Amino acid sequence: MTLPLRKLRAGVALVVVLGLLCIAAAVPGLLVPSAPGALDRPYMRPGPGHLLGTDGIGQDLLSELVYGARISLGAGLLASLVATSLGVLVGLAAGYLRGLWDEWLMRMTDVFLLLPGLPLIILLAAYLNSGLAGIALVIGLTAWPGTARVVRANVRQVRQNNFIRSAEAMGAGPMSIMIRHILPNIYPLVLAKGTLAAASAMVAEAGVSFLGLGDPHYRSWGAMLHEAFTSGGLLNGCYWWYLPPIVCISATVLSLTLVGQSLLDPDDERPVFGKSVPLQPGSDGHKDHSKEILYVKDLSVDFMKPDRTLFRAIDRLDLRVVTGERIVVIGQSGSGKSVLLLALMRLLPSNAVISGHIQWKDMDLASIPEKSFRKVRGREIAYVPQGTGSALNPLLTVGYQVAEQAKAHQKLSKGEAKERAVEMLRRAGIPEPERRSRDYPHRYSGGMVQRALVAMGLISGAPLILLDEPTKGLDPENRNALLHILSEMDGKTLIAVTHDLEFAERFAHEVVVMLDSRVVEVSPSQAFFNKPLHPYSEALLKAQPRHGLQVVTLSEGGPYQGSGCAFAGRCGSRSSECDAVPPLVARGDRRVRCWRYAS
Amino acid sequence: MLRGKASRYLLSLVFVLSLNFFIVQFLPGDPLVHLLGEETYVHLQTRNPHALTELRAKHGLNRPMVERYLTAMADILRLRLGWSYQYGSPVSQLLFYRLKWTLLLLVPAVCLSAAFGLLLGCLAGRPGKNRVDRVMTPLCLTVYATPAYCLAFLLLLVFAFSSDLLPLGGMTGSAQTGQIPAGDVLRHLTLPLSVLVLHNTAYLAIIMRGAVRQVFTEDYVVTAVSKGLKPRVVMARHVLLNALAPYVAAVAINFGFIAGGALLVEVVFSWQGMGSLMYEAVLARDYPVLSGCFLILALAVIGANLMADLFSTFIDPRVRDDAASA
Repeated sequence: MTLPLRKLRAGVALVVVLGLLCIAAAVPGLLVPSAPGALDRPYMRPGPGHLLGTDGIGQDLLSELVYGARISLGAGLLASLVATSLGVLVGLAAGYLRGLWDEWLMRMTDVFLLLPGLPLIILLAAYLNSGLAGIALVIGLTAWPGTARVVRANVRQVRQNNFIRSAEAMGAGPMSIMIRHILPNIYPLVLAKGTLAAASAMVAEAGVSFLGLGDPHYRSWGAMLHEAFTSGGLLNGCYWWYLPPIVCISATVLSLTLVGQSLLDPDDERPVFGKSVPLQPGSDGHKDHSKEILYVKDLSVDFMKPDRTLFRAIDRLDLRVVTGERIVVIGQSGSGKSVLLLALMRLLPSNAVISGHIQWKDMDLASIPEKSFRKVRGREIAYVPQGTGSALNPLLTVGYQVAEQAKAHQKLSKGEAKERAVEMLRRAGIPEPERRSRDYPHRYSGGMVQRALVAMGLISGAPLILLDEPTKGLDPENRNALLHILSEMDGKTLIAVTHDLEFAERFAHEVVVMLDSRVVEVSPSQAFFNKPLHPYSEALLKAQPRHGLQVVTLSEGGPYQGSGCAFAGRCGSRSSECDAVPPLVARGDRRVRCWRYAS
Repeated sequence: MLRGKASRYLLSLVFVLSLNFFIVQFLPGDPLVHLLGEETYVHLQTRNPHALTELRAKHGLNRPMVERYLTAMADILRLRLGWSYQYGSPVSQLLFYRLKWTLLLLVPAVCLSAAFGLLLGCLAGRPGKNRVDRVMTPLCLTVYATPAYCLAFLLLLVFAFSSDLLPLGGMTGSAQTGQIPAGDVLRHLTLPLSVLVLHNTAYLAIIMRGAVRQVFTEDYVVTAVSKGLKPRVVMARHVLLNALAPYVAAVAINFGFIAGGALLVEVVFSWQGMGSLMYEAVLARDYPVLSGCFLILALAVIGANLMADLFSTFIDPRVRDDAASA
């Protein structure tokens, strides 16, 4: 695994800081010759005798600093231990036992979460008046609620797992399940929270000690600051007195925070989109495609995985779309269907690597900059996302979200755009569109959300509309209504991606079948549903209800290895040729990728 | 849900109000020490034990627990927070005087840093190659890792010692009673305010960055981009709006942390607010004052969270509907 240099350097710095800290805490004698205590002249500037100078009574500041590490770190770790154990205990009990336990423990957690931490620590430390361990204990006792909440959420997730169920079924008691089965699974989280708690506990201890509530026998970095402040170090400008402890506190807290964060969220590089993706133009064989509105050649999409290897989602896809045509792309989940739509809209995450050639009318979509592409989105090509999930912004009215597009592209006034939005919602089959346009998405049913999204595609006036699983989660009635709406769109070119073969049959002019990143069949709809050519297509159709739901598991193959035909493992008529990827061959007006037809 | 929240606040309120009573009653030591101060207590113990018994009776310490608790609650509700033996005046009077100065520092600090944090967080949270993120986030983490009062030390070193631009501390140049010149206060306010704004901006920017990054993974942002909206519109209308509620909630839940930081900064600049009051109370072990300070701060945190909840009701139609149906 290769890491970017920036991260590597940060990692080395972390190791150095934490390593030095551990040495200082464990064997301070290794770093400085003597423990603080010996007195020299006070207020000495940093120099040969005292590398960091001396304080107001003449103690060597370097040795104070090094010996203070043990106190500061020890207090932080002890407090973190208390806070984390308490937090885990409460979180485990609340998350696993649920019911009344959960309710009351969480109520208690909420109450504690609302207490201002540092003032409470100061209050308790002042009342208790009891040394370093007491302070650490107090800090720990006030810092657990955050951990408890996170642990509870995590435990609730873990307990859904089957191995917990089976352990329960075998008669394991709640105690043993919590300790033996759940705890090991939340361990990384506990470690991360513990590290972060140590960081904030160190800050709290420094604060309390700075106020003079610290233990006079154990001088931490915070206590050094207290001395510097109260004995005139600050007012007399003795910067060498207070700068080193400040640097030490910051560096330690920063390191612990970074370690904790990286444990909490190891894969910090989240997928993002909306940035221009480098698209290397592929070879464009023949130039004459004036008939097509959209012409895609050699389109490949790879995703860079966190370990820097590539995962191919679409492999050298060709697609020709004529004006007014309705194309349906079918195939199982993960075959690259949805990625295709996102690639056409240039909406893929930034870890996607795209190559190939996409021609829209006479525009080369592969090479235009992001700014120009924005004028393609919603004006030339509209995208209708899946209605399940959160395709609509929960905080804006549906009417606003539909109108937004018209406002952006058609220079309509607010009122005009709103009117058009209502009109489109009506056309998309939303009852009482005037009133419903003022509603927020959470008041819409699944079918209505889908229709509102279609209205969004309609209002754009774009000649090409891409639909991602338009019938997913719809009941038959809603699906028929949607089909009706889509079929009424004259003159629009539509590309839909779906699992729904019945929808495909009634809607499509042309069917494209995808299997594991490759197109395996392209056929006119009627011919396809009469007689599919590819064995995979056959299997798909046979599993349809009207064919008696035949499940075609002809022979159980291993996982697809990336070489050869992706269906070979499950195919009834496989031959030795199937170890190589078959070419996409033309059969009349159809194309199919199978060795059966290759000769 | 609304009822759940109301009960949460009520429970917190009762807990905070009772906390002081329980600390005094149940922590080791004679409760009378906490009421009189160690010095007076020891003095009376050796010279006049009889007066001690009288005082015990006067403070009701030999009455039953329940009665004492109810009396204590009633006292708090009537703003009788005890007697400061260090200042020789009622705690509530001290608090109200000092609170003004703390608010003068804290309110602008919270407002400014919330605004800066929002802005920086939005810029740093944008996905893709992001120069702001690369520079600002490590910087923010470093500033955040440095406690606010340490930052105060550093700023003092640069601006007050090295360049003599700004005063070292205090609130006015000439500590006379009567009219306080606003310009002078402003000059004295500059450094402590800068420290607080700097520290809290760093912290809030990190929170906002996380919220923005989270929202960017949502489907509706893809929808918004697919409409061909300008990045500015996508950010303002779709990302910022959705990141706002979690951000405000995080600001509220961390209000105690922010206020705590402000207390220590006050001490460094001898700003005569609650922080300095608490510091003096710590040094003199003036327990009633300490408890009073804590009470005010705890109430402020509860208030901040209540406001954040109201804000999310205001901004989120889902919560609004929930509230309406409850």
